Amino acid sequence: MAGDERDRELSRRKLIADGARAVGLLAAAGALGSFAAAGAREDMVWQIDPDKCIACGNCATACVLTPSAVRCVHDVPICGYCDLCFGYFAEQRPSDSEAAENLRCPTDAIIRNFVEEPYYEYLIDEPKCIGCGVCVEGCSQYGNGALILQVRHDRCKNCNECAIAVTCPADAFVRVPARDPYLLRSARLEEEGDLEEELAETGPRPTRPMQPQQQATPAEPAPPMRQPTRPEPEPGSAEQPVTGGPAQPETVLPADDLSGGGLQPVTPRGPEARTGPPPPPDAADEQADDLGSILGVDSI
Amino acid sequence: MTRRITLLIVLAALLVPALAPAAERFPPPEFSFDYHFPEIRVPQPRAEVFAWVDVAVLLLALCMAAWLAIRRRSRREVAVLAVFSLLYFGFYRGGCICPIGAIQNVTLAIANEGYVLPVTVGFFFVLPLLFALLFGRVFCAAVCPLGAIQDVVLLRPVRVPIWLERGLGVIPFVYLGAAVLFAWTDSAFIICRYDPFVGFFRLGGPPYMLIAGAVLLLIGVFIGRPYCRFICPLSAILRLLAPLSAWHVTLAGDRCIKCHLCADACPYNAIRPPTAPDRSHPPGTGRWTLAAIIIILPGLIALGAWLGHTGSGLLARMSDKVELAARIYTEQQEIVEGTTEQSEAFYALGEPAGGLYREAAEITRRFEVGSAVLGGFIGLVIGIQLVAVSLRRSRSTYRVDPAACVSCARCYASCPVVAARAAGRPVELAESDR
Repeated sequence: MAGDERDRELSRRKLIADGARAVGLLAAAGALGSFAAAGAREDMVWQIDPDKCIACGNCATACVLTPSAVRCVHDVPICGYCDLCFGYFAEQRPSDSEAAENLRCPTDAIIRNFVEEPYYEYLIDEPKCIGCGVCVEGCSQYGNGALILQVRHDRCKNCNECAIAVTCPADAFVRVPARDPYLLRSARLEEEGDLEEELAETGPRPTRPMQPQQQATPAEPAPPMRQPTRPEPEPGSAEQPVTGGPAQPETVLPADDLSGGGLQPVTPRGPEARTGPPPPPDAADEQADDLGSILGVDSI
Repeated sequence: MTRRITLLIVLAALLVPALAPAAERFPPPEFSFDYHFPEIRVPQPRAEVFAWVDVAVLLLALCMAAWLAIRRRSRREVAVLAVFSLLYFGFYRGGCICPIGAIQNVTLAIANEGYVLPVTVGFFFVLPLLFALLFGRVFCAAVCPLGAIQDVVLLRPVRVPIWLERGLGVIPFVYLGAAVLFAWTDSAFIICRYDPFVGFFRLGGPPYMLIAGAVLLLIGVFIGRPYCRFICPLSAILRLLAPLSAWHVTLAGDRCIKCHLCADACPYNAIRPPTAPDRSHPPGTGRWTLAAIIIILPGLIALGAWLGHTGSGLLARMSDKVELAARIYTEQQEIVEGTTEQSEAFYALGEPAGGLYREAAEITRRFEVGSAVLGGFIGLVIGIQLVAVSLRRSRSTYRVDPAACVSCARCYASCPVVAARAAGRPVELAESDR
């Protein structure tokens, strides 16, 4: 009697388990089938958007690898081949020689070669580079922005959540398609049109505007540059909008793909977008009013 | 008056270069000879075919693990496979992508159309679950590198009291819920961020990661697989699926001679002893406890949902977007003074704050709903755990609990019945040896 009851209970339990397992197997098979049918969804890898990067230095320290998978890349087609390179030489330096105390790079990873008067070429000795971005900062502040930080994919482990992306203050880490894994400015300009023309007409490369501390001391001259053969920029050029470069190529995912971007369509940034001063407070006030309460910042 | 205006113009002219650094940018050189730009080295990522190799290795390893644990019944062979997985998925592949972390990719792909789930990641997520439905937690046994690294350091197993095991067993569900919430809101991949062993696999990492990993391994010398049992969010899913498995690790079954050796051999509390035939409780008391728990269960869920909803603002601040939006807002309303590195980087982009606010508000809304659901889910899990504790299951023999068993195959060698069967001796011999 009791045995019968137990048997019945066991068979009932078995039936439920069998049913649940069948449902689960069907779901799993369906998922696998739909993944396989979706086919050519390609892998994504991490990359740094040079237009967002502020060369804060986190790349050198936050990577799970030591030394970091991020290295400086010299985007030579947009380099000015300056005699006194802002990425190479330190701002405050005793002299203009190539002695260590005059250089920016802490690991002596930039090689400077004479090409012809007055041009010098600069090469990155990549095994020495630690991805600190010190040279990138100099080049993007005063120069053409030819020195940029990029994730090197022969080293990158492609972590599911990039440890540098987590600490990046500028949200500059983006996922890009694995078949086109670099975001070089020269490549983008080439895609958009004649690189030479772009360089000749607008001269400047997209970079961030000056930092506040530099704005505060306008009288302080930039480091002296020997550019004897260079034409001076036209007087009017200062008032023209600094180009933000052409909009991002379409293959580039929204920068904040991982951290919120996909929630809203990202509007492509126009050429003027980069240079404007911070938007005036009242411009966003309308949304801000109710957003304050949503974000819970009223009490602060 | 005129002089003052002149002065202003002069001052403005002085300021222009500071505001427009582009005035000092340099045109490309005009070389007098045919100069070739140095080549820009662009090392490519691993070819996608290797991602499929990973999937194939995963599939093969799962098949091997099932075969070794259930058919071959060999601890030694399971251990060898575990070491292989540790070397391949752990040290060679650097721990990414792993089925545990893939939970988040799948969630993000469902929640967010902007993120496309790579097919291979989808396979990494589904295959271990499929195998759990068929063979139990064979993924844990010898395929997961996190399990393997803990399995190899387990030298002096200590038994964890069952009440502690049940209590801590709630954590994986909480972790799973939180991971899904943060992936759903596109804020963080917390499973990857707080993965304790990936630092070892890559031979370097943030100090907190290495310290957490070292502490877990140290605990793991005495308490078997602390991450798998008390933290791993995938274990929460596998625990639910494994009891449905068609085949599973079994010992003597009805031939059990109740020698307790298998339970002694199991370091993971996965072998349940037979229940005492004489009930210490008078019949009926357990029923009342059960009824009480079922009555308070909706209350538990409601309490959890309310707590979650209340704390959603705090959770939302874990999202960088929301944090940045709040910072920009407070700066522009002059509630706080100065700027942070983040807000300066945002101003440097020159984008209007409105877009950021909208995104942050959308994330915050998702958190409001999501945290309430998470809170309710935690309440439900606690309730179910209480029900499980108060339910009395009668067992006449030692039984493997498929939810807790990781199919490590340690128990086989200790079971006299299994040994007798393997040697072709009649099982009764083993009983008479007792």
